[in-house]
This record gives sequence, structure tokens and C-alpha cells, in this order.
Amino acid sequence: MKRFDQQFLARDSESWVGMEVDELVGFLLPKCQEVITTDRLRQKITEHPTLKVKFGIDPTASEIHIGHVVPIMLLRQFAKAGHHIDFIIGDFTARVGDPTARDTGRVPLSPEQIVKNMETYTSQIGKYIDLRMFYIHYNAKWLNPMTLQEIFAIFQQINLSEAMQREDFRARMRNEQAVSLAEVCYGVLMGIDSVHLGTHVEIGGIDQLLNFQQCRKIMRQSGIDEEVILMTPILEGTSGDGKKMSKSYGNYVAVNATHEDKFGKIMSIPDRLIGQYFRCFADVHQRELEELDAFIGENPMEAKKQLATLVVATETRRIDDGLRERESFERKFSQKSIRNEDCIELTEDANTTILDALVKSGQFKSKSELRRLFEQQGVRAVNEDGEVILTPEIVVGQVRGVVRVGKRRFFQFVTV
Amino acid sequence: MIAYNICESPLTPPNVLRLGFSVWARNLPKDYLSIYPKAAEEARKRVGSENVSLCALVDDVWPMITLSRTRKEQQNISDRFISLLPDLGFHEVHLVSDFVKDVALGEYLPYAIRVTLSEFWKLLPQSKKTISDNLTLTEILGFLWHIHVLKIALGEFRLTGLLVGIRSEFFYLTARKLLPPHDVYFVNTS
Repeated sequence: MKRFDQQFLARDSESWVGMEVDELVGFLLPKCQEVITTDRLRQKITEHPTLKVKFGIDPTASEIHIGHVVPIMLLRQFAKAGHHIDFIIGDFTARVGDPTARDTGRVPLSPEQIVKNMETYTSQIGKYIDLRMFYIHYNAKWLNPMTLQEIFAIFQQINLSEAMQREDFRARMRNEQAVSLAEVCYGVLMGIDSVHLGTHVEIGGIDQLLNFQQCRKIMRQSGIDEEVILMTPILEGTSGDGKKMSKSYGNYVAVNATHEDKFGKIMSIPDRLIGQYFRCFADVHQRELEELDAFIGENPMEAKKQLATLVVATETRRIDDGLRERESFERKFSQKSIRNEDCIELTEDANTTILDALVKSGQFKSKSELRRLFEQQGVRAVNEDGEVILTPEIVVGQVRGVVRVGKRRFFQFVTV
Repeated sequence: MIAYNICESPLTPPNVLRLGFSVWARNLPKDYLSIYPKAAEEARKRVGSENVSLCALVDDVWPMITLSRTRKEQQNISDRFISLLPDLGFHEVHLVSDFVKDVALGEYLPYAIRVTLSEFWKLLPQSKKTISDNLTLTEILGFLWHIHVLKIALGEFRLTGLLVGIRSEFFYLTARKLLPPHDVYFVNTS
């Protein structure tokens, strides 16, 4: 059996300094949804032995999930190749306040809150990258003291209608959602960051595309060679309903989750996401994609276990930690061990709905408690193919395998 | 003369009302400025106080930047404002460059969070909207700057009210949401 988890994790400790341009690009591209442009990327790598690579965050949130780590994994590849990483902490933007939260009356962050959020943030991403490899900048340092004259010279280069015509703004205004003036100016401020740092390459999520375009325009009009943009996909959540990973959708894997939780949640993703997650979290080369995808197609369960092993092991840089979690998962979730150790056996008519059958078991406080668990996608059938999310209307006769409710309650149905 | 006014400042002492207004010193002052002292007289009658002074704020910073004037050119224009305005009935004349010392972006960009794009679009005069392809983000910058100037002036000169042209109605209504409490008298200037 091919062990992609071990193969990819072994690359973690490699140095890519001096790697051939095409070889490096081959590792970078699988992580990107869009690059503007690949030819310019090759050219920049060739021209600059040490590229200036920029990545920015606004320290507005405390707990992050693995979706936030996706661009960090790309950034890590540049760091391994010996490039200069400028890590921008958007304390200026954060002090202005998160524009999208205007209706909820969120107050702009104080300098103390920003420092606190940054400590929490860096302690989380520190699991995936060595922050000592980065040059950390707070952009208020150069944005805050800009004079009216300086900012005027930049703002007069950007057409107001063009800024207002952004499709995302128009969509929000159609839905009567407020767009603040701060948001209109946001891309320009990012551009000023890039001009200030002389950025060659910028990394971010694909949702930042319009900001990046404005950023490039500011650079061009300031007489500086435009940066190359590498945009990572927005990671789809674990529930497989097409929604992005988000705390508000409850379909996320927290960076601070236990290894057991991480492994279990990765195991719950639909098979079609295995390839995307591998590309996001492993150093996969373009030439390996065909083999990887074929492997996933033929052995989705095994591929998913290797993916979960890799995600856990990437955090500690020890394959053994991932393998230990895999072993524990297999022990707990193999039907045999569940039946022996934890399973409650219920005898039911095959046409009874799973909701009614579980209510009758007497193991739950109320029907509404169970309905809530169904809504949270916490009721699943566990069988040799993995986990399947169950809905309340499914009848007992249709269920294959053991039914898991929440994290630790297991039921085996015997139909009459 | 005063089209309408909004007077609900809790800070207004009973017999004192100071009125201020802004002059964007792009051009030399014209006769129409005399309408403000007359409007101030009307305001005095409304509040029943003789103790009302009229204060002119002359913005010599923004026009200098937007029109690329030299400091000397701007100074010449500003000097003529300073000499003319008292003759027209203004009790005090203040140059913005004298009282707004901090022109750093971080001082006024935070206002941008509290104004929506739709609100801002209403502030723009129709003449500008028809040539919107030529408008730049400096329109937003100018708006933020003027709010910043008013905020400092309200505090620095203890202004409790503003005497403003009705054509700038949307701007001053928006400004009221962003600034400390103050009264506004909208003067019918047409």
C-alpha cells in the first residue's frame, strides 16, 4: 500500500534552498486556485534569488481553524526555499475596525486587544510554521503617519466608480447590506503595504482577488513592478454541503482541537474533498497529482486515513503522532470494537424512523435534543466505507453499520 | 433665510451661541458670503441672545493639495480671506492650517468605518455624479478630511453650532452622526 502520508511528511524537514525554478513551481501550483501570472512567477523566481513574499492578516479573530492555515502552508514552501517572508499584521485596519461588522456595532480594536489577539493567533499558526523565519511588520507603522498630501497622491489614481462597481459590493448592496467607505479603501491600503515593502509575491485566499488587483494597480501607478499573486482556495467545510469552512457553519476543524478531534473530523469529510485537502496540507508536486488522485479513487477510506494522519503529524512534525491517532481511531470505529465495547443494541421495526427509534431508546433527554443533534450533523452511520450523515427521516432498515450519536454514543440496530 | 435648523445640543449655554462655517478657499470670497452674517442675526433672534459670535473656518490645507498650489500661492489667497471676512461681519477667522496640526491618515480614516457607500453617494452633488467616470477615491478622502476639521474646530473654538449652506445638507447631516453634539442652521443660499 502506497504511504502518501509518510512520503509527504518526510518533506517537512527538507531544505528547498537552491531548488530549480520549475521544480519549486511544481510544488507551489497544486496549492493555488489562481496565479497572476504563472509566467511572471517563474520570471520573478529566476530574477530574485531571495524573493520578498508578503502575507497579511488582520488580528480580529482569536480562534482559527485549519481553513485559515491553507495559505500558511503555501507560505511555508517559500520559506523552505529560502525566500524572505514579510508577515503583515494589519493593526491599522483592525484599529479602523472590521468594516463588515458595522451593523453589529463592533467597536474598533484597541492596541491591547490587537496584541492579545496576535499572541493567540501566533500561538496557533506556530504549530505549522516557524515564526522565526518571518519578518513581522505592523502596518500602522507606515500607514498611520501618512500625510494628507501623500495619501491624496495615491487615492487620486483610483477611480471611484471602479471601486464601487466591485461585484461583491454590488451584491451586498442589492441585499441591502452595508458597505463602508473603509472597505472601499481597503485594497488601496494593502497596495501601500506592498509599495512600502517592495513585495515581489503576495499570498492570500481567492476571496482577496479584488483587493489584490487594486494592490497591483497601486504598485503599477507608483512605478514599481507589480507583485505576483498566488491565491489559495477557500477550504470547503467538513460537512460536504459545499459551504466554506467556518465557525458559524459548525463545519470546521479548530487548530486548537485535540488530535483525536482533528483526526475524527477529517475522517468525516466526503470523499470528493480528500484530494483538495491533500493539496492544501501536503507538499504535493504537480507530477504526483495523477497518482495521488488515482489512489484516492481506488482507496478513499485508506486515503482519508492517511490524510488525517498527515494533518495531525504536520502539527507536531512527527509521523508517530499521526499514526497513533490512526490506530486509536481504527480501534474505536471499527464496527467490531464498537459493538464489543460501547454499543447499545436496539431492536426495532425496519420502517421506524431513526429519530423515533433513538427517542425510544431512552438515552436522550428529549426529542428536541435529538433533533438538534441531527441538525448539527451529529448523527452518523459508521461502516466500512467511513461515515454517512443521517437525517431524522431515514428508517432503521436503511441504516448500514453502527449509528454514532454525538461523539461517544453508539447504537446497533437489529430489525424485526 | 434659515431654511431650517436642528438645535438639540445639550452643551449650549442659555445665552451663548457661537456659529461657525467652512470656506473651502479655492476661490476668492464673493459677495454671497455676506448672507452668513445676516443669517447669524436671524439665529440670534431665534435664540433671543445678543451674545452670538460668528466664526469663519478657512480651509487652506485641502485646496492647496487638490489644486497643487504652492504654499505661497495659498498664503496669498488665505490672506485676502482673513482681511475681508471681518468686514463682512465675522467676529473670528481661523485658518485650518493653524488649528489642525495632525494631518496623519490614522486621525481621520476611522470615520470611514461609520459611513456606508450608499450614504456617501448621496453626499455627492448631481454634477459630480454625472461625470462619475472621472471621480477618484479623493472624494472619500476629502469627505473624511472635512469631518476631521469640523471635529477639531468644534472643540478648539467651543463651537456649539454650524451655519451652513442648504446645498451641503447631506454632508452636515452625516457629520452630525459622526461628531460631538452640535446645532446646525441650514441657510438658503440660492
